[in-house]
Amino acid sequence: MTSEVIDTVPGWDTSAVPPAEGPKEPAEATRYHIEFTGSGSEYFKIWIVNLLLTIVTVGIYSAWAKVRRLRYFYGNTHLAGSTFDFHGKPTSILLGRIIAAVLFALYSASPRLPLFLEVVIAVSLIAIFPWLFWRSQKFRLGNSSYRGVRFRFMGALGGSYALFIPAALLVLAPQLLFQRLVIGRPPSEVMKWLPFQFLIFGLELVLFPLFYWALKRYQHAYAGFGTARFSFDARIRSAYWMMTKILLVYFGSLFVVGLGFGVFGIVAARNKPLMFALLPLFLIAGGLSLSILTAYATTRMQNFIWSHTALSNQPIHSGVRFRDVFKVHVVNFLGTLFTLGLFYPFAAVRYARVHLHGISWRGDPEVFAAHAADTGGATGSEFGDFLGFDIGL
Amino acid sequence: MDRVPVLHFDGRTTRSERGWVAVEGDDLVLTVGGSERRFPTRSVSFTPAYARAPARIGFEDGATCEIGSADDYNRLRAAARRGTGWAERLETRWRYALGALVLVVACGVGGYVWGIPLAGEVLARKAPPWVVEAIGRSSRQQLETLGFGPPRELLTDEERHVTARFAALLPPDAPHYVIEFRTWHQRANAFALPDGHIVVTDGMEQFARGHEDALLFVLGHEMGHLYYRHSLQSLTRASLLSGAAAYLFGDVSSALAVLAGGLGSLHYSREFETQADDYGIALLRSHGISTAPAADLFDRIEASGGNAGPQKSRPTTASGPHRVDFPGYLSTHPATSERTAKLRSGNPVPPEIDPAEPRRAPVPADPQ
Repeated sequence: MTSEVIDTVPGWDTSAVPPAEGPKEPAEATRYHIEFTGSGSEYFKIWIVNLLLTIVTVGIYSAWAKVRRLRYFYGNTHLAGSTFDFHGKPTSILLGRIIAAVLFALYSASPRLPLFLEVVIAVSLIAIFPWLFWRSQKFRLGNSSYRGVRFRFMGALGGSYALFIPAALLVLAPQLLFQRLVIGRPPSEVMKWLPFQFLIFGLELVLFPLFYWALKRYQHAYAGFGTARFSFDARIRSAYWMMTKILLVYFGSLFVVGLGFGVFGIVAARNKPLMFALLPLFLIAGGLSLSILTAYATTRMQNFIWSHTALSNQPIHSGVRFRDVFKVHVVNFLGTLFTLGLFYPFAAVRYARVHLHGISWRGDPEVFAAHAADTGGATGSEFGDFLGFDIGL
Repeated sequence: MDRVPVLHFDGRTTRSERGWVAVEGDDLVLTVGGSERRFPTRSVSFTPAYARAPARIGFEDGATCEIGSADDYNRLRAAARRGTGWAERLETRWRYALGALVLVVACGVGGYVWGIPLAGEVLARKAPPWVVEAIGRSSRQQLETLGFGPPRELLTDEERHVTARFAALLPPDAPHYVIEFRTWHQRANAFALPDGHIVVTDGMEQFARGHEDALLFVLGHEMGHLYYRHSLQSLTRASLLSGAAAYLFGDVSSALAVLAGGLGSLHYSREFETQADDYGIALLRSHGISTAPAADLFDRIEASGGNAGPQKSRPTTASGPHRVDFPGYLSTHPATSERTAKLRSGNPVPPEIDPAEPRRAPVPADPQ
């Protein structure tokens, strides 16, 4: 199955190396569940110190903070008795963030510049984005390890362009064009262009599941662990089916929120003091209905992606339940609201736990081998050179 | 020291092997699979210790060892004289965490109260003229879509009179300005665009008819906005604030981030309105003009139920005239009652007339 994937999928980086020879799945393979042992109080201390130092250093420490955060979360993710590890260098992350800040400044400044420059900037940003995305995949996977063996990303750069450029041309460019045509114009002119916007919107709806499937396939089918390879066998039509259900839930929640606004409007017109008393209640209710949508969408998407991913034919399964995720979202929302944000580290830990605990894997963790190019030492200096910076996409 | 049991991974495969590690002098001795290897302690990497996860030490050749027990790990670190790093020490003791919390909250409050406003002021002052003009021009272009008529070219006598009086009041450091009188379906409003154009609507003129001093205050208030460059400041403050809110709350809930940014911006907006009020008050009272008529003007506008006074948006009450004081936190302007109270108190008092003394007509210049 894995070799089929190699032959038929374009963009495979064949310089990567020898065909994976993962063992056949043994009949009585144990099922290992991922366990997350992080705790909110423990992470709170890390988080608050990170925040203070980041403020004090005007953001420079944020790269070190990110490394410490990732090491905490990786290091508390257990599989078959061992934990994961993150090796990224803070300096690479810092460089990546500075570059990202420069790009963002360019993008923000462009509307004020002459049209010619604005177009040049937009085109350049679209042109380098796939490259940045590809680098950040290599950085993230290449700096993650389990039991001393590193993960890898073997997707070709061309694959990244094949993924993003059509989306940019079909959806992003028309959308930007539309905005440019419409901003500042009187409503009568805006009305003329409305069908165009609906067309773009329709195109987005129809193409998004395809894009999402292609993105996940690019990220998963070309991922590797040591000499072993991951595979991704989800079908496009399953992606469409899943997205349709999510869209229905989305419209449902819009309807409920709209209903709420309607009721609120009626109350507002009749009885102002009551309106103000009820306003916080309405806001919280709005936040909760948003939580339903987010919980549903993330549950479906996680189960979809991971249940169709396997490592060397050893299947991964994701069985996260909506009710568990929803509970976590609700408590997180209310907790963060009432503590003015201080609940955040507890919320982050709770998210991680509910999402990770649903993942399990049937296979033998003892049999994997590191890729030849990776075994250069714990410091992995060649990674530092090659993956000079990480933009964190 | 005693040996510490470890789980060894050679870095080339994921196969685990039980082994032992001990510190002898400056070396770390690793005993695994029957063989013994030595590494200088300083070449070994130690991870921070987490409460419920194994700690890890890493060797130069890519091998790692997982140590399951926190006690064992601390003993090992102590023996190797590789204590916890400063960051780890800060991150594991509650007293540092709570101290950090206090400092972060202080920075947050300080940033909101002083930092962002200061940044806004500096940026607004440094803004190049073309930026200011561009914003003003695009705002003016939008006026037509919002229902405003074009600026009138032929002014009435009243309009000319109030314009002249206003010009006479202004100090030399007042920014350049142009007063525009526009129709807006009889609704009362007045605002200042960043490029110096002050717009007064026909509705406002109607409410102020016969009370020129009230209109003078309105113009002074708008001049206050221009003087302090409030539109630019509010733009920069809003962006900085929403950026901070997104950073703090974005991961948990974008709704929260927007809410926080929005409420924070509303407070800033009320600050600006108060500042503009103060400017107008100072302008009028320094010339001995009372601001009480302005207070009456605001009361009239609000009582009639239309868009009252120089404000951006007020939901009209569907059930007819209503005196409603919006709770302060929700409004872009401080509550009207607060403003009118300030406008009515502290006005220059006309000289006391003693009822006992006969009223004397003003003495003309000596006719000789």
